[in-house]
Amino acid sequence: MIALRFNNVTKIYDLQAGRDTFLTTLRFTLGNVKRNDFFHAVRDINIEIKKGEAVGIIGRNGAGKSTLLKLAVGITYPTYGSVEVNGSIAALIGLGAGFNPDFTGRENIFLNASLLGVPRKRVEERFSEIVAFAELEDFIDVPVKRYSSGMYARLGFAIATHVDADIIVIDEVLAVGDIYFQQKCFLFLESLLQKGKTLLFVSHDVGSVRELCNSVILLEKGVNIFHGDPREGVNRYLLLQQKKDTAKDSENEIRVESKTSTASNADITVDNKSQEGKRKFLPRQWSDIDALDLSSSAVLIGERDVHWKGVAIYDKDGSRCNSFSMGDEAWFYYEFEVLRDILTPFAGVAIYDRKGILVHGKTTYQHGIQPCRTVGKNATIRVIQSIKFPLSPDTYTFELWLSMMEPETHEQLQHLTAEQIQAGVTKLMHISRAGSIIITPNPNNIAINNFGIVDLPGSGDLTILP
Amino acid sequence: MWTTIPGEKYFDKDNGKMTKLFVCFRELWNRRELLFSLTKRDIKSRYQQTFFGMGWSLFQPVMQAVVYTVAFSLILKVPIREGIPYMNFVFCNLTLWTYFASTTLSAMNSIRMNSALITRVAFPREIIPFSTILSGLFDFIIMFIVLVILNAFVGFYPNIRFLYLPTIILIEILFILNISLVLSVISIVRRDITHVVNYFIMLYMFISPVFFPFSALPAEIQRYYFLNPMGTLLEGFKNIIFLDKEPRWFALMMVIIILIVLFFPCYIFFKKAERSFTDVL
Repeated sequence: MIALRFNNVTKIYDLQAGRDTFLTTLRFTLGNVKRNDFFHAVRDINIEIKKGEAVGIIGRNGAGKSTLLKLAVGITYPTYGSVEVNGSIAALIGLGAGFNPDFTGRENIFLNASLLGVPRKRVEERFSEIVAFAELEDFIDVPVKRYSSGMYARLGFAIATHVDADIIVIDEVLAVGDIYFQQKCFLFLESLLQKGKTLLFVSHDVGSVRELCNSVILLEKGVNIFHGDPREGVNRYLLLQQKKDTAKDSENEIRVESKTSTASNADITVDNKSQEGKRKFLPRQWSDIDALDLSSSAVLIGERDVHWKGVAIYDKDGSRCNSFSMGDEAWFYYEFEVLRDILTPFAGVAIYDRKGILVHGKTTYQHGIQPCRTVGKNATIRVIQSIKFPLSPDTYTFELWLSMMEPETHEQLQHLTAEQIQAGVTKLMHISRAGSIIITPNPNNIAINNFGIVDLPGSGDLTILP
Repeated sequence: MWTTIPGEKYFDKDNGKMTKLFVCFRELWNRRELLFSLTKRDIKSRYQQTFFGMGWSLFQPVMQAVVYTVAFSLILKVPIREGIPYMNFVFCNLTLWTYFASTTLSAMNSIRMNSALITRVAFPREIIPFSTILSGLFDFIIMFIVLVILNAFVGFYPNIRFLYLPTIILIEILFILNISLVLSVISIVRRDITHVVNYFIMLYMFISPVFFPFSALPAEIQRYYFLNPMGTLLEGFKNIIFLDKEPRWFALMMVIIILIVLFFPCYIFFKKAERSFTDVL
């Protein structure tokens, strides 16, 4: 059974509505000037949403996601076409919509429910459940204007989901709540889906869209460019994002080129630290790096001995970015200042996925870079590491660290077991949440994108015997 | 094939076609709880964080009554034939008039004032001006109680014909509703209207029997006075309160018929405009 249907829906907004004055109208009519301020928010949308389905609407800013929700709810009406709704709708559009700031939480629950068209009796039955879900037992008789934005979001979500509507429509409002409440919300939405409710929601969090939704609607400039499998939809969405990024980068590149043309050989350097002294193709020289990022979310452990000066990530073309196409190589540049004399330092990068699983971790020592025996106080340690990302498209975080090795361990490295090496290593500093990296699908080959977390190297052969 | 179950929960948001009037009425009836909770909200939030609370709804009309008594009775010496003290006479008229004047203005602006609600929640929009009009009744009742007390001081007591008063109020509500359905739509598109309406209400007060008795009008005008709904209501209201006289039923019936006939075009106009509220607000 179908819960919601859009028939050739087009919505055109008059951007200057109500702004004509007597004088401008006179000018337009006498001067025969045509106003051209119409905006096609959504164009020719044909969608059927079945009962019990969870549909995520994704797309860039201004793609028409919220307009689509408003059309479904009946807040705004289509310019052409029609929207058919089968069942009652509870919508959560905008933070604190329908709340009266002077009213207490208790009064607002009843007001909000009556706005959603829920009989007072049913609200009274569900009242304690709503309050418990919103975790507002202690604040229910406080005017909501004293609430934090998280409390607003919690109360709004709790009301919209506890009134037994057939279709639940949620605009990007969950982002306000903390991670624990978001998890609780998603679990609850899943339980509603099992009860056969229909869910329509807008989110920029592609991870949750992929997990919760049966299908995805991808909008681009008001046009429904994809409707179907969530994984594919999300991948296409990330590709869109990337096309935009590369368009921006190409502007930057012009500037970069003009800079490098003056010193054309700058890109090719000899890495002194490398034992073999082999030539390496570096995207950037240290002297070209203008600033290092110090992520505000970074958690530093061990600030006594070492001072972290930041990290910068470049792609192979030498432009700074943190969004990489699958299989691309990234260059990590990071720097430490040593606050006391240390011995044989080495550094490392570790990549974690969304669930906190260590995907990859490697140190400079493992890259075969032999460190100096001793490093004096106030010296700076600069590290360059490149990592290839044959990873599935998603957001990853990375951690950095600096360790040192006892000289004895270092001298006898070849003869020691892993445990013995471990005993001779001291971690000087560990930086968790040093930054994040976004991996996007490879635009050149979308077919290889679905393989799991990592694209492990390998080869194959297929023969057919007659 | 696609099948739908038309019924309570089914509604079709097609373009252009006017939704059937009875569907609108049924939806309005289904959402009556919302009407009452919005009315409650209006009343409550009016006195939120004020020190004198409802004292303010009395302050203005009492001051007006005093000023008008000085101006019209002491200085201009407007005669009241039926032996009613001018102060009571003018306060009685102001009770009914203030309800009309203030709720017309606030109902006209109500859609704009509640734009946050309208752009985020779907419900029949006429509930907003309607609830504003109903919440004004609260102030009216307070003023009415004060009026009865004031009248008791000068020897006019409540009588059996007070039972007619709800009819008078209902007619007044219908009148305000008609006006504000149209004006609220216009005020969204062009706010100029708020500047204009203020003055027109003031002018209207001077041609209605607020300061002078109905009987002071020329006989020819009295006969067609039902064309002025507020004038007819004021006259009836005064007759009931002070004189224990039947209101002029013929004029009242004419007013009711006119207002009901006018209600439909006003309501249809509002319902048609309602579709673009979110886009213009």
